[in-house]
Amino acid sequence: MEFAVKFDNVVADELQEKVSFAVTGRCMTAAVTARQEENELLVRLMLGLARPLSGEIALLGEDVCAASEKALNALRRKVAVVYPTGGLISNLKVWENLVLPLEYFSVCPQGEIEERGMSALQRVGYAGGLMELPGHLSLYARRQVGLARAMLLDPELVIYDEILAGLSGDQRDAITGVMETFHRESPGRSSLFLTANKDAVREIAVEARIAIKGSSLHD
Amino acid sequence: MSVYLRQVYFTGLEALKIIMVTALLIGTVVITQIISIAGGGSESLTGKVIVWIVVRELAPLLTSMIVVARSGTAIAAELAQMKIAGEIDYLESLGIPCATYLIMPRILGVATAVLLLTVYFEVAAVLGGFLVATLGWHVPWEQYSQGVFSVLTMSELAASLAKSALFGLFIAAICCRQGLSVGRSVTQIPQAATRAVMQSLFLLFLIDGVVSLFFLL
Repeated sequence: MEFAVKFDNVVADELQEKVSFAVTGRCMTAAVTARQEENELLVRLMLGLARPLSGEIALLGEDVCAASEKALNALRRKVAVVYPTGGLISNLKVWENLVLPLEYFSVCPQGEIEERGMSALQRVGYAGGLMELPGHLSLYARRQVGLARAMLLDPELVIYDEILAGLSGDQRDAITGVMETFHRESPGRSSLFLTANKDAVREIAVEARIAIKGSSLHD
Repeated sequence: MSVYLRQVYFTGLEALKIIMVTALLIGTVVITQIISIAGGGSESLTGKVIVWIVVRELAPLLTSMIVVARSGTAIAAELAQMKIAGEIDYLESLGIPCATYLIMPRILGVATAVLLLTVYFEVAAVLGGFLVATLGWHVPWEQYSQGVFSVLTMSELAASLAKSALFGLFIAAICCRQGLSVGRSVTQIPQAATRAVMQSLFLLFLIDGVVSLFFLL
């Protein structure tokens, strides 16, 4: 797989211009977008949650636009997204959010799920309650849980959407350390950092930086 | 499975108290009306009429109306809030289809709960009616139960349960649909809940009429 993500002349409702870019597989890439709102749309387009008006999108080598819903669900399971809000479901408790995909897909026995869940939370340094609702957590704690859930999925591609925005220096350092270690753990893993602020990803040791503006690709 | 059980708990178990109280009051009202119309000596008639009115019509209808008011609005508002907050996308991005994780368990959960609540309603109304009849007019259990069981046929029970199952399925489907129909503004949440209630009530009466006609013919 040469590219983890590839956009080719993509036109979508809320995109200001045609978008083309490619994220090389197996490396850490920072993608700087024009606006923060575009990040969310790009993620939705990548995962097939929104359809482009024209153009082609490939995710992990598969054509997203031509894929069936079943194929898309299978493809989405290879990708983990850490959203700016953590991506947690508000009516599920922290623990339920964390192990939701593992329990839904019954990937391993309950005992192993508990073991893996606790280990992931320890790795991200989560110190809050397991039975808390996401609404009671700080932004940092929500992102920690979102990151822990992404780690549990053992994904081929991790998309971090504004992962460091709004955090203190210590919090950014802690999360950056975890993300970098997690990326290196699997040689086939690709990591994509989406941000509208190019300074926000300076602390991350990315191997490539791209600017998603118009149809041009800047390395 | 956990979403289904949670739905049965919220819709069924948590509504049990209000269903029981309503059923007892309905039983009381119906018995009082029968005796005031038919007068003394109408012991077996009281049992028959309570089956005709409560089991055939009021139990499925009132139970469903209570479920619409309690759980229908909650389902519509919850799903609308999830949609606006982007949580439906969060689920889908995990490869978890919204239809199988959020919608189907809710529809089946509400249908199960309405079915069970209807049975509770019928039992409570029949027993409540007897309590009033025996305390107020000294109607003996033998005569009252004779009236009840003489008209409580399998067909009556089937019609009642068919109605309640259909009501439950349609209420939940409409409320899910309305909840997921919102755009991006939080002001659409109460609008979705209102639409869900109005459409559910209209459909309840429509299905009630159709099923009643079907069993009559």
